[in-house]
Amino acid sequence: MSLADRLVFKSTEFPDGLVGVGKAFPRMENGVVLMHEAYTKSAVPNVVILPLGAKAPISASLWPPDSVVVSVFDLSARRDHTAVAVTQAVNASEQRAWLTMSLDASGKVVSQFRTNPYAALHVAVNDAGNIWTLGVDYDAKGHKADYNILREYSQDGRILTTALPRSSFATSLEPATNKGGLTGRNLLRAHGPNMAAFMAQTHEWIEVSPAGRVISRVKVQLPSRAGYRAPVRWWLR
Amino acid sequence: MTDDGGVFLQLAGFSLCKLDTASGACGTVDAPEEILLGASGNDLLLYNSLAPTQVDWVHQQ
Repeated sequence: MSLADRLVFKSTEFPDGLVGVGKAFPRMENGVVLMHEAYTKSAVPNVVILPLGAKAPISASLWPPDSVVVSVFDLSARRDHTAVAVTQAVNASEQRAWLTMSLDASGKVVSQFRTNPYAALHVAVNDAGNIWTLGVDYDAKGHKADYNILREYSQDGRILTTALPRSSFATSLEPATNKGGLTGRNLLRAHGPNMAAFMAQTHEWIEVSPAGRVISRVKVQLPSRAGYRAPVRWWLR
Repeated sequence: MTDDGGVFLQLAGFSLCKLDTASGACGTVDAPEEILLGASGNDLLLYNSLAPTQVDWVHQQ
């Protein structure tokens, strides 16, 4: 018997082929389902936004000029269905640009900014408009300094806030599930007016106020009979 | 996360637990066969990979 078997009270249809085996796992927030391709080699649609109840999804192609490969790491949507994606674009000389790209409700890219040497791997946006990210500072990583960073940007790319998760300190990170390890993914979500990150490697929850103050740090005690030691998904609205 | 402040984690194997953000305790809520997609209001949204053309709304109690 499943939770859904007992308590489901309505169902919403998805377009055929939107989710399923071989597809990236969807993210749902603010009444939309968000999908993205992890890796594309041409300017094909690599982002899909489906407002719940809509008959057809919105597709977008995130493909900066001179790119030969684009990876979409994460995607987040606001209540007005505008969205922000964090990406990596590589050119023919194998130069990398870590780009944060804003989309309007039709899926059109309306602005972008580069964050090198910081790679934003996860993103969350709230109605206030600023962009929160969780990622890696590769300059700091090269110097074996703290490198897992929570960073807030304005919509035009100014750094507003930086915070370090506790797990940045002297932690040997395990490989994630998609690298052959058991560790789940780090995640970043809006939690009311706050931003909250889950650091899968250390089971750490960190929550930051809109002013950038860390208001919560806690070690998550997972159920002892879990199939694996780490969550593979952690969901906020 | 639901509007009433609940934070839910789904573990590999589908176990679902609810996080106490003050203590870090995450007590098992259920072991659904479905995959947790997100929340809307205080309802959880789940889908089954065997029926990927619909999402089911579940009252969180």
